[in-house]
Amino acid sequence: MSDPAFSDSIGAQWQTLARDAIRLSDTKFLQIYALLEQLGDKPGIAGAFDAMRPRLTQLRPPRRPTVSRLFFRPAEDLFDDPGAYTRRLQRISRGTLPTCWKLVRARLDGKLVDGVAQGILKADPRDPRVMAKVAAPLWEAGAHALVVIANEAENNLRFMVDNFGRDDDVLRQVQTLRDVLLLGGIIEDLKQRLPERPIGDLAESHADAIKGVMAQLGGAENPQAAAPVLLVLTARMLRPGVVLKMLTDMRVTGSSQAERDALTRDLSGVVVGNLLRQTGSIAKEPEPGAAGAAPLDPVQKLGALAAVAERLTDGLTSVNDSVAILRDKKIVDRVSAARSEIGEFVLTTVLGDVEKTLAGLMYAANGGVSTPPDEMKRAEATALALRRSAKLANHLGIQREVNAKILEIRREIDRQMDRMMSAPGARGNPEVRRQMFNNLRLMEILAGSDEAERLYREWSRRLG
Amino acid sequence: MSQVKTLDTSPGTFGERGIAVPFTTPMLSQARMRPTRQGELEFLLPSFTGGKGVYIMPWRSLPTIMTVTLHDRLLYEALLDLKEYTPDTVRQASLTVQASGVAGGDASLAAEKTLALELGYRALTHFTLVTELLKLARLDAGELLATGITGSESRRLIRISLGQLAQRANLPVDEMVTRVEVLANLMAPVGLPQCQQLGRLRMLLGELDRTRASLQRWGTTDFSEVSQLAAFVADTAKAALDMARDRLARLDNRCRDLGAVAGDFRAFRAAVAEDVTRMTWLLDGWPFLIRLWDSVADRPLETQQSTMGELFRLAPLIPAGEGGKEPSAYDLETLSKIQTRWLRMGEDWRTGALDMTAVMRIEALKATAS
Repeated sequence: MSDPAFSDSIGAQWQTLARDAIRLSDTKFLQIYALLEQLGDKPGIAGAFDAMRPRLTQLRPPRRPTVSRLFFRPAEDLFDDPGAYTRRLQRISRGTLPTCWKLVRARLDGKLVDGVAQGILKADPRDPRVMAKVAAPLWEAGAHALVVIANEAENNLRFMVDNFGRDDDVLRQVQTLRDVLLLGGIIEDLKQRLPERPIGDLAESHADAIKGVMAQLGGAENPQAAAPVLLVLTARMLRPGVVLKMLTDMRVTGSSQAERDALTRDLSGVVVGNLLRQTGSIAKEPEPGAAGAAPLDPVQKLGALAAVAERLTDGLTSVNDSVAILRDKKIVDRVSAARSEIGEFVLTTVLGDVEKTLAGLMYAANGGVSTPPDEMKRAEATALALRRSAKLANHLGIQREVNAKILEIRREIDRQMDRMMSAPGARGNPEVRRQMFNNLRLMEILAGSDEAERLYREWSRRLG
Repeated sequence: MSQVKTLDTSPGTFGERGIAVPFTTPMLSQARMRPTRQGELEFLLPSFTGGKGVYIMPWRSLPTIMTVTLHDRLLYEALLDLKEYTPDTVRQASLTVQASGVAGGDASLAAEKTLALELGYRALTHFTLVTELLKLARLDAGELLATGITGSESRRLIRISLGQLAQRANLPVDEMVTRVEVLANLMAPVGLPQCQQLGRLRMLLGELDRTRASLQRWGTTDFSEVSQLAAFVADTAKAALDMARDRLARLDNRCRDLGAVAGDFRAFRAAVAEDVTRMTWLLDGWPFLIRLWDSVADRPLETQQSTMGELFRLAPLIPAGEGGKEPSAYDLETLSKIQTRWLRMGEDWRTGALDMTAVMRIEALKATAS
């Protein structure tokens, strides 16, 4: 199996198989995925997973923990698909991981790896605390192995080229990975004590947990020691500016102040850079039916896109202060451009045909007066996506356009209600009443409860 | 009474504690309602700012603090129409509003289903009661049992059977019919001990016991300070369970001798009503908390921890005047501090603006069971 040509051929076959699997039904696709999972880290499998990833992202099957997956877990928030990876943002390309693991695995004590594998089998994979205990020696030994690998790559060009190519950026990725893994236990423990990602607001206990870790690692004397933790943390936060502010507010002494300020600047640059990178890529969402992606439900897609826009807008707003700290006009301009870009994105993707989507769901001929329950749920999800966009409108400078869309939808609801209530037999018809409440639901989401109440009184009066 | 007040002392009776109302506005969710002497309704919101005490506010003060959902506005109107305020009448009003569809399709279907099931269970209780009375009087219930619970033939046979019973007891037929109907309606929320199918409150006791055990278990495996909240909520559940079980035992004992239907019915009815009503008060508020805890069973630890804060905030402590522990028995100040530390600012019920996603989470809980 050591013949590279043979390995390449196997890899190509796996990839072809994976691409074929994408055309299968969800159930069959997941069966193939489960079988591939059981094969573990065999040559070529990683390529197959790459081919399957877009569909896996949608289906989100439960993943069986493996030694390699557990090894990378503390850093997983920093991983990007190779196509989306951007340099110098302290991110790690998924494309780097298989080589990293191959090299680390070769340097790890076999007994240690076997022990971890045994531990995984015995532990409940849903209990992250137990899994962290199992993986602790692996992270420590793995981080040290990464130091050796980085040194060898730096001093041995042949080794570097054979394993990573000629691009020095890989070494930066290895360094980021090593820094995070050295604090793997602390990071995983902190993750368990904080809300699920994306983390919205923090409770006092959460803030205390973060401050506790910062103090434990270096405190006021050495704020830099907590940098890997903060890097992971900002990647998990909806508003990473909150963590940056905590860092700015941290009391430091003497020369540590300069160190803290440098760290804040570095981290701010990384956070802002990441938000800008994501903003730049939002318009490049895979089109429904694109290779590897099963056709997305348009309503789900609308909701997902609105959520992305909200996350990025919130993120950018939260780093306003940090951007100011950077005192970099170029970044200020880029942030401002990013806002416009998100605004444009919302206008074209979320607002685009939203009124037609809603009307199609609510009022398409369905054989009855009231909208069927499933269609109604989709209509509510669509209205929620629009409401999300309305919340962002001020920040993005698209208030006028959003208001116009909402007004148009409200008029359509009014027209439909008027038509329905004017029809013979509308009074006392439970279906009409049901549809009245369906329409009120949309009105409440889009125009608020006061307006919904006003319409309820008016429509109830007409229906007697 | 147009201003917000705070209540620093714990309520002494169930009436003072108020009835949990299943509102969908996050900040109002499970607020407790009680009528004032002037006949108005006021609402008690436990520490919604994370501080100490309970806020008491009339409905008209609410819009200055929060945006209230259309569902809650209609529910409030339905509450105003009630002639009597008990956990059961409030529940019925809430289900009727929910069935309209104002809280979404799933919640509406769940409410319709619940209302239909309860109507069916009332008929079953009535039927069981009649057959038990026939057995007691050594009359043949075979024909009635063969006919089943519903339908005009069944109604005719029930009337004939009650006529026979009335004759034995020297009562007018209509009086016997009324007594049985009254007793069936009273017992329907609990169900007769002779009935194999459990009544709503009997099932609720089982669910509460399961939740209590789950909370206790969770508390022993969580190593944060939140485990203290879990212990408190489990303890509160146990107190309600013990007292409700005691009541149920008394009620079942009473119902094993149904001869009282033909005897001193007034006293019997009063005693049964007292037992059932007390059970509804003891268990008031728990169905929502059970569903809330169930909803995070498979969620990460932190989600469970923050939900525990919510359970603590809403846990229906039994008032001291009703047999519960004195509040001083608990270190409520420390527990409140823990709860506050685990609440996320600006989220869910703590924001005045209406967060429709949070509203829909509450509606989803309404849809899981009613």
